[in-house]
Amino acid sequence: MSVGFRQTQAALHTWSGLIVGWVLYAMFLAGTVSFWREEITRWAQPEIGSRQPAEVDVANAQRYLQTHAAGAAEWTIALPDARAAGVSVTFRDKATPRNATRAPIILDAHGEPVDVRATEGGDFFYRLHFDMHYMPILWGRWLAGLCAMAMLIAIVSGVITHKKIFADFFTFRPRKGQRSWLDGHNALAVLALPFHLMITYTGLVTLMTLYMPWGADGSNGSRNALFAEIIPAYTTPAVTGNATPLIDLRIALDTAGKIWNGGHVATLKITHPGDASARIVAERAAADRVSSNQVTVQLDGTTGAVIAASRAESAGVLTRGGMIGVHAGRFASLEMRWLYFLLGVAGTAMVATGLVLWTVKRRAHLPDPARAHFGFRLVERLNVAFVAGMPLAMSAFLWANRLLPHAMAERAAWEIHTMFIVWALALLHVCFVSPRRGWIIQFALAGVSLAALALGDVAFVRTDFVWIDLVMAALGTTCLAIAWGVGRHMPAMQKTRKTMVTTRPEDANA
Amino acid sequence: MRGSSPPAPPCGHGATIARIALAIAGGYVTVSLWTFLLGRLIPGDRPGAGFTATMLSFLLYAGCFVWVFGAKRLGRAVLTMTALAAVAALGIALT
Repeated sequence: MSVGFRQTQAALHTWSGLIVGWVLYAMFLAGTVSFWREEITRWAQPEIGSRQPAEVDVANAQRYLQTHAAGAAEWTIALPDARAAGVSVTFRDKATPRNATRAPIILDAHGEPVDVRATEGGDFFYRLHFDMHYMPILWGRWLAGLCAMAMLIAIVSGVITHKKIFADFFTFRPRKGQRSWLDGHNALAVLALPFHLMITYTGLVTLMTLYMPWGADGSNGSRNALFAEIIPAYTTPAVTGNATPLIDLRIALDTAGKIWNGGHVATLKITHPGDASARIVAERAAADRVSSNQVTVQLDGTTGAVIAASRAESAGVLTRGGMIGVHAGRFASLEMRWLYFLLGVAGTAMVATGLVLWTVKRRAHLPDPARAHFGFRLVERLNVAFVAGMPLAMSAFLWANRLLPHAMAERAAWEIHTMFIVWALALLHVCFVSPRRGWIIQFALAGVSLAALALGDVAFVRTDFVWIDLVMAALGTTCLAIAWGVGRHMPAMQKTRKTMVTTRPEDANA
Repeated sequence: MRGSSPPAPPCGHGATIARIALAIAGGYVTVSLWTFLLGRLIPGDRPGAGFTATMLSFLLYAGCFVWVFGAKRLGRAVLTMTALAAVAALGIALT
């Protein structure tokens, strides 16, 4: 590859990275914590308590629905997976339209409804990761897709830019200003490169028919036609009027488990319970398989006999399902989940160091660093407000979860508003102080906030779910360490600035 | 990329914008046409073919950027892009 070609790729890398860098950082951070989606939700709803065996949950759910919704048109029982707790039930009257949403009722170990606080918990970070917030979902998804595409281009051009990619990986020159940032960015990028490439590409695949609908148009005529062909549709007979008792739903659990070679049920959907036309559709738990495609089986509600099952996936359908599954990591064991999380942290740090590198590199070329032009100052401030401000704001969401009154109207929405208010304050704050003070104060606040949250939780709320508090305390300590590091390191960097300009041009690569 | 100056493409800003536009818009149109054609031509079950073509499209699109930014002459890149789009369009018309 010629020098010229590699230089064009460097320009492509810098600009595709910077323009979407802040949104990418937010996506990486929200996505990384979403590997603990179930755990965060469980943390956010301490009322639910410990998890029960599936048989107990299903029996409780059936008893509750039989008592309170015997004449309903449809029951849905959502079982918690191994990482969550509390079975949730919903039911629909014959008069209620099919698409009306109802809040699920969560049952405790004795089958009594739990008065849980309204919160989106871990689901909020999960949705934030690709839907954004305060904007139509479709806009959010397009924005996420554009940023993911830019990231894919930044990765490919970044690899081309780094002629000596493995030598770069083993190069770390600490406390050398720009070179340290460059080495750090390279190490984080190369160390986890397979992960970054995988997570970016599979991220695009999750919503690919939105971004590129033409393939489905070519193969099936339309997206809807394509999905209609792969999503199993079961026929449900009309209500007969003959009252026939529903089978014990634990039998359905058992039958589905046998069909799936020991697999687990995630949801049971019962149509016309108590009627001779009753049907049960069991859906398999996502944690059972890598592929995210739905696996379902339909049973007769009065006999428990298997009527139909979702068909086997073709290679192309399985490949897409597998990519989405690898992206979301729902199949991951605890060890694997930690690996996902740590690699996600590396990705978040890669985007952050890339953003910082942009400013460090350009500061060296400024005629007067004390009075930089507007664009430079904007990038510098936005870097602080995103990289340090977002973790601070996310901790505010968790604080709101603990402190907002239980009976508050729109409680779940106000947890989210709290996060964005704190985030906006972080942006406002850094407009009035130097970036250096902004970095220190905001990271220190995030650290104190997370550590205090963990301590307060163990002291006042619960002690049966301590490990997530330990993780929170560890993340808080990391934020404090960063604040301390900036305080120690930044003056040294300013001293080296004068010498930066005279360093060999070979070192100015980024 | 061992150079001292801040990364700048060989030509001025106008040429850079033209390259960006060609990659984003020209690339999307061309890749869309090829994805449609591949969705139609890949053998086997229809959903699998549609998914396979769509999964390939993002790699093709990323490739467009690398190629358009690395191309020595912008004019030739425009011509090649147009030709690639025309071939796919012809393929769609004929199948």
